[in-house]
Amino acid sequence: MTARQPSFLIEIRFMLGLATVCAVLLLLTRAGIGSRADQSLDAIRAAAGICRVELPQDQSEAIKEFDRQFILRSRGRIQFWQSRSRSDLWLCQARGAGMWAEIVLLFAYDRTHRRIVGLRVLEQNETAGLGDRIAEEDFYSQFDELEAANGIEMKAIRIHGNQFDAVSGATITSRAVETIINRALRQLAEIPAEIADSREVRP
Amino acid sequence: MKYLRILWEGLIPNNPVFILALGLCSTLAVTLKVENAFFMAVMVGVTTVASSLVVAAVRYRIPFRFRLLSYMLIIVTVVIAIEQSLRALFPEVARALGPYVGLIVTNCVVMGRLEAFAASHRPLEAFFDALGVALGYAAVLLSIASIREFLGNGTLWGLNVTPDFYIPCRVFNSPPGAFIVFAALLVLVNWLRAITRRQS
Repeated sequence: MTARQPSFLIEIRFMLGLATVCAVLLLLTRAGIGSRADQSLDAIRAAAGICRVELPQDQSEAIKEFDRQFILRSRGRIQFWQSRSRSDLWLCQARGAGMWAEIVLLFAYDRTHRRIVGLRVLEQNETAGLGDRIAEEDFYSQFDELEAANGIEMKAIRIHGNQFDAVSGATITSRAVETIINRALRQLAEIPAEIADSREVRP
Repeated sequence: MKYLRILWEGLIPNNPVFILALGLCSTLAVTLKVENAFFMAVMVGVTTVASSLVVAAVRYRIPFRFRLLSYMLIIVTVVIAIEQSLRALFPEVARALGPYVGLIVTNCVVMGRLEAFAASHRPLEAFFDALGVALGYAAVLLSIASIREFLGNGTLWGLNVTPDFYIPCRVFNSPPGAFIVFAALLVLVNWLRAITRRQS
């Protein structure tokens, strides 16, 4: 037993060393890629479409222009960007479970008027012909200037200002959109309105 | 010469898909388009070569009872690094490949070569073996993808290569089409092997 212990310790030490080296390598990769892993070109183009900002055609130029206009405030499953020119305009990229696969949404939020400015679906794999209609212009247009002071609500027929029509035959998908947006709004409410520039998140 | 033989062994006599029947899931799933198959093959190749080199370099230090865990750690590191680079540089390809990039971790081609070859050979030999296997995997992927894209869409790497009167056979775009093409190629390969064996 005593003879086995040192070799066991050596093995454990090797495994810990290997895990540490792997973690350091992954951190280096992450640092090398920078924020580009967080910003897909689709998200940038969608954000520009919502906020009516002109972006250059070239990919790297578009990313640079986006960085000039917006500043990354929070990363993770829900990411927030704040507009540099209008401090109350926030962009949010949030993901959550849909019916079949993860749904990734991008929306802009006006914190002064507490309204959603616009919404785009970046990724979805919902039922063809039913749930996938959340990626259509008719669905997006409901979120233009949608009141969201107390979150939004899915309804069969919209009555109040913070409600949107569910897609017929796709209740689960519509509910997923509602949940994802409300969760992101709750998280956004926890971020102080006036963030000093020193809080800028950089990879 | 010895290294060339190791390379050849991995490429044809030990072809991971046709002979060893490893990594079939991703082979059938990502061969809808030549472009996706190419990127998948490159990523599996890079993962196999890099992890084989690392495992061969530390083969005397890896504890026997933790060897699979160690292989897994090494493969996961390489795969995550590749996946993040792909998402940053080619977001559209990354989306088309979907979960299959992450699933390279569990691809038997990579793990099989580490356990069967890299763990008991020198790094240079392991490098050539991994390269051979990666090339063999790439050849299979590209041949299946070319046939499926050509018959199913009438295109190759997105370029139209068929005359106007050609009507694409959509079944090759669906999962059964992948099985049909794979089975046909398997028959062809086994038939060629039988002929060469009889001649020798």
